[in-house]
Amino acid sequence: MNPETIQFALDVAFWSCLVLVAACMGVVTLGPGNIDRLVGTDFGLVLTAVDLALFSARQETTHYMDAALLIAILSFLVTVVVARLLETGRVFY
Amino acid sequence: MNWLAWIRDFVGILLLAGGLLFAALGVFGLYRMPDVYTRMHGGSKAVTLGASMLLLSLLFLAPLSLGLRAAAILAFVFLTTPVATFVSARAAHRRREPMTEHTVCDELEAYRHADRDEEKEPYEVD
Repeated sequence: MNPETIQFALDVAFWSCLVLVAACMGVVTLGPGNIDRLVGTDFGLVLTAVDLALFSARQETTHYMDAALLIAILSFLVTVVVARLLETGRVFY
Repeated sequence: MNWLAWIRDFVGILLLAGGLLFAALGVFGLYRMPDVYTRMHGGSKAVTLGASMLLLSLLFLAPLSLGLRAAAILAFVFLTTPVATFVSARAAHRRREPMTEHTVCDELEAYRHADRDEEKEPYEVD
């Protein structure tokens, strides 16, 4: 397949994934409870990492992949810490 | 070897489309489902599969130096997203988040305090 087709596919995937991240931020804003906001944050950050990876492939550099890996790690940490905070009122015993 | 490269690109674009479909279905489930637990149930599996397919497609479409880093992110996301959702579901159940009225049974209710020592309870849960 010619490179223009692949570039177009990566373009469409990048913008669609950005729309999905915006939808997750809508869950963070509207969500009925705090746990919904937590789940929306988790999915939004994972999709942000995927979106950065797609953007990196679209720009044909590898410079954004480190930021994507960091965001993936931070999404896990944020979710675990905030879940423990919501569960018990404190993070550490 | 031209047709081999064509098949590689075709598989990559197919994975892109499938990953976008599954991720969109998972985010749609976050809006559509009636309950915290069902929202997590619908969202976590679909978003994990969609993100994994999107990152796997970069192994076919992008150069190898980018694809291997995408594979590293894939491994991490695949390991941690179910754990994060499990921790959120545990917090939701201990906070007694309301369930929908279509709930048939809650088997975890009998074990709510079984795994903790009531005497040494350092905090008030409810």
